[in-house]
Amino acid sequence: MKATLCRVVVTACVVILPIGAVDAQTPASPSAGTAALRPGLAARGESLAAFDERCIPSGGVAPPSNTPGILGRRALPAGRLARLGATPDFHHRLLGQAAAGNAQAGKDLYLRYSCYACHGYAGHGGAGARLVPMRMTLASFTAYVRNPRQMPPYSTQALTDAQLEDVWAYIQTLPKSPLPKDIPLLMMMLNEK
Amino acid sequence: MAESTKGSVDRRGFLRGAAVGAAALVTQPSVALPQPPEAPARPAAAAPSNAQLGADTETPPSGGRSRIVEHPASDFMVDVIKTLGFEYVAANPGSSFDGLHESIINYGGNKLPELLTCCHEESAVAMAHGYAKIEGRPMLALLHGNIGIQHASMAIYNAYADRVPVYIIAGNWRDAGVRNNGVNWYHSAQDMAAMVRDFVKWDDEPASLAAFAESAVRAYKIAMTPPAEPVLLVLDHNMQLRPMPQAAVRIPRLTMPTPPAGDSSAVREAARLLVAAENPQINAGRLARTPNAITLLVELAELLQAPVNGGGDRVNFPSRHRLAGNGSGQADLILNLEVQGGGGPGGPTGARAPNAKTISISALDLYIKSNLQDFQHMADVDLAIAADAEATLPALIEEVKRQLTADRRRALADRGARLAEVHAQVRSVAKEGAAYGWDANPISLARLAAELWAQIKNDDWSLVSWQGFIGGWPGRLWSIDKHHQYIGGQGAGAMGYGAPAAVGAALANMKHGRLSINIQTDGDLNYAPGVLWTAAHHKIPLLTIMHNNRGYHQEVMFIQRMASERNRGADRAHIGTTLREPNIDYARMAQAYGMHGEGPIADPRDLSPAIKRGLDRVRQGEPALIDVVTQPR
Repeated sequence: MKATLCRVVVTACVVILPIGAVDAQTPASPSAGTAALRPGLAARGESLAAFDERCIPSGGVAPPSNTPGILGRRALPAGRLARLGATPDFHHRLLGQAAAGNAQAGKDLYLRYSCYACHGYAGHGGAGARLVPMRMTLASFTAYVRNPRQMPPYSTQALTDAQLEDVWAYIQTLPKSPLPKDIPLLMMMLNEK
Repeated sequence: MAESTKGSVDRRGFLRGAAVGAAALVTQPSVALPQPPEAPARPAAAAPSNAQLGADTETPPSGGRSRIVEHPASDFMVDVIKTLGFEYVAANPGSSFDGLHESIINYGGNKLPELLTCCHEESAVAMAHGYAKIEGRPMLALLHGNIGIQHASMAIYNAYADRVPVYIIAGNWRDAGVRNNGVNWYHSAQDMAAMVRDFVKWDDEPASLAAFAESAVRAYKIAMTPPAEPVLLVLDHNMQLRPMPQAAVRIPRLTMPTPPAGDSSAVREAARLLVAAENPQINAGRLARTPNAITLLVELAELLQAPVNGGGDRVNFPSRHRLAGNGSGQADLILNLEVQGGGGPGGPTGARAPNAKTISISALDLYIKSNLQDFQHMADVDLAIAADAEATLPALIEEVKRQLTADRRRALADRGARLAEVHAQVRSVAKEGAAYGWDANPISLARLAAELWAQIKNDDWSLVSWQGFIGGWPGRLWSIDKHHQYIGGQGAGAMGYGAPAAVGAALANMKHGRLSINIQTDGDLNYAPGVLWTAAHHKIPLLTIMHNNRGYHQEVMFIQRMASERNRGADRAHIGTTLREPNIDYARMAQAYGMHGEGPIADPRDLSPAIKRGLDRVRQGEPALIDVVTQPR
């Protein structure tokens, strides 16, 4: 019973209210790119430009959205991208970087270390962030895993740099998801009243 | 006086008793030993028993003693129960209430209430929990002595924390003077209700039929008065067996109190704050006791053009209403309707302005207990209205109408247009999120929800399972706008609730011809899977779709985090948290319990046809289970 109640408490903290709940990651809309939709900016004393810069890894740009006009996690509206000198369909500059790690070994680690638990077997996200398409360089990926903001930290004692490279290489092999416009069922649902 | 129950056989003691009896036969001593008395000896200084003190003692039988009791008191108990309008009584059989059981099925004709055969007391109470959230009134559950109460205790606590009425009767051999030696002693208690008193609203152990009638009606009234909660009556076994007294016993009339509505001056002040607010936010917790609450909340939100977070415990607000959601920006006024607790240390503060005010309308301010900590942190509230929120909404709406000027209405219309934009964006973001992992194997929960929706959306459907473990995808993708279309979660968050609550809710939906859907987590089902048999036996139409992630997945993540933060890696987080090696075959489990079962299905291309086959069975009036191997979350 004690364990059951313990489970309850933490569950309550983790689960987002399902009905009418707004995704905590909901980005600002292109048309309403105002501080009103990013109330935290003003509260933090942060400018929009500074926010934009912080959201995008140095030298990189957010990935293209699956839905025109609607942006995925950390993606920014066209206007903001233009201010940054980028274009909406500009992929992360390091996506083309060759993955030197062993993807098969990385798959084993991904499963054995329960990366799937939060990020999904397909890297599509869940309790944790989406990993596909991978937007981080190996260096930033490794740095993040060592000192993350939200997920549990993994030291070199738990996972070596070489192992993280394998995991990173495996994530690169995970297939991208189809675009919503190519999924009739989702388009039907969106068009419903 | 009461007949001794000597000779009766307790269900759970039967086999043990038989074994002991057999052993006694083969070890019969060759020398004569003192024979035990016919009846248990009474203590020399025993106090008068309840039976002796009962006001409803029968006339001593004339002539020779007979064991035939043609008009037992438990028949009268059924009369009382029938006045309360119960449709069903859920029970795992037990000898402490065998008198009442027999009266229900024979004297009462097994109708209103009809007895449901349950395989576990926790299932019986959880079925009643789910039933009440659809039907809006309690189901009766019978529990066998203190062991039945202990089995049921977790389900009682779930219902308590979920503010749901469940009407419980437990048997007891109260009078130790006539109690048979052996197992009946283990199953009896001096104060039977003590072990669950912290999480029932009221309990009683009536000592006479007159007291039973009064307590039975009183218990119903207490259970249903907001905040609704479980109640418990403990029923002496001997009292069930006695002959009815010749004099008529009064059954009090049930008159339900009107739920408490808010004080008029406080409601006026709440309306003033709401009308003046520039960016209000409405949050609804366990608001909707009835479907009418949805209508009222829509009216209030549209008057104010205020966003509504409908919460996850009831259907309080249509999921696709243009005002559904958290709106945008920092709220300067928050209206909480039956929302439990507040922020507290480490809690989320939400998007609220530093000087934001909070109004709370909740019946929970009228009722609290001390031991179990379900009441959460003390909320910071500027205006607390101790009243039932649903009952208070009509007055609040009228006050808002009265205070809204034409100018103010125009300004609010502009706000409503902005909120509609935000709502549309949220829907689009949900669609985009659902696309990720669309073709993944195992199947993503978004795809599971979408494929289900496509096949049920034109039915009068009802989702009778919690969305918390499935990413809230139905709430994000489906149009949920009717009270019966979603029933929320466990209450106290304890596993073992899901499957039986779904069966109970499906039973309530049955007479309305609704299509009941249960997205069932694997860990939960394994607490007491026998409820699948109950669904099959009673022909309760219910489609169960397994969310089979092969583990207690939340715990996988907890242990993973714990190990990582202790710098020990996370490659052993599966130990003690997963349900693999062997994988559990839920299709065969369903078949074993007598219903259609198929799977495991992990390829998303196989999902839609499997759902269709399952729905075909359910539409014919039977339960079915589809085992879907899923992504963790």
